Amino acid sequence: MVVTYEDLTPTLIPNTTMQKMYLDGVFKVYRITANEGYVLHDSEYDIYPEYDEEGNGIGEPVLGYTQMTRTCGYNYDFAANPREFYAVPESEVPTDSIYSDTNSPEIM
Amino acid sequence: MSDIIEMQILTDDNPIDMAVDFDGEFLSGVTGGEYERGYDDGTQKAYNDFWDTYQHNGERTSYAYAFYGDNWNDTTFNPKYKMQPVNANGMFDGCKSVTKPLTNDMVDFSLCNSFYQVFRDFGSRELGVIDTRKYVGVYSYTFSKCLAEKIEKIILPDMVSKNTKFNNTTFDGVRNLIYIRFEGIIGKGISLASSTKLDSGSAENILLSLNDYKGTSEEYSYTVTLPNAVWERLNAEIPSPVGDSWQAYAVNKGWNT
Repeated sequence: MVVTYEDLTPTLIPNTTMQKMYLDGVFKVYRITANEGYVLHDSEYDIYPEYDEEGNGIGEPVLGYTQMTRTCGYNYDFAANPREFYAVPESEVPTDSIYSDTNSPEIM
Repeated sequence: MSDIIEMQILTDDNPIDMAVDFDGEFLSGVTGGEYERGYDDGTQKAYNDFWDTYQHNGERTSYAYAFYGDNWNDTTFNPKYKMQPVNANGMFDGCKSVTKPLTNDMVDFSLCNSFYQVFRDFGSRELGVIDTRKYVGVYSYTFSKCLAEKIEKIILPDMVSKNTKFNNTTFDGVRNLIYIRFEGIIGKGISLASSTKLDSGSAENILLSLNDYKGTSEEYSYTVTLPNAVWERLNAEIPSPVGDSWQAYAVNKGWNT
């Protein structure tokens, strides 16, 4: 299987770099990486104090950020943006909320 | 004149030798091992009395918060009976000072239908097989911040039901984890974002266990999250069946990474 990438310009999320990933020429996912000095918020890293029986978070989450590349499917709805992708300056978020290879928070 | 008087008590069985110190210091009390045997018997009785009560003579099934908090250690945590919890919510929550392996000689989770916070902040470095086939809920905080380096195996329901899923808290802060295996299908999202030490065999097992959503309505609905270091190690050590990376493998199965 051949994997190829295409830079997405302009990016759909400010202060990030985005690519489209293709498998055998078929567009599959977007790859999103925060630019230098920024971190990417992805709700997949958010931690809620409680969860209901469906797994939905209850209460105010502790937001999680990452310096790593994240993907979302070709069918992702960027208008609704359910995973709440956005980039913020690294200096504006607590260090212990940033997931990276050298920082693995335990944020609750 | 000696400060110690030695005597022998004749019994129907073996005579008991004693040595008594008249200076007020208790020396050996009973010689010939009787004192030691008596001490051991007393200790054993105390052990039995405690664990018979605590474990309902081996019949206890609700171990909810049974070892909660940092109040147990490797000596005091020594259950008499093999535990078979039905309710294990918070069973080892905060039990940091128990570091010895939690083996399947000690506990069997195959009847357990509740896994909320079971191993959160638990100090054991090695967990045996954790059979969760009776569980139908969300694995909230189940292993959060636990100190385990090895989880021998987590057995999942054969087909993960709609409501059975890991969430962001399940393995949150599990920093020491090197080895883990799953048996069954990971049907919803899974995140080991904090487990930067995870070895390649474990990462491969996780990815091979992901349900294949390719071409279904749930394609790209779920995310598998691993640290970059784990992806890089895996890609370097084990060839991906798809393309040039295991990320491509996950994407080809309809998963976000």
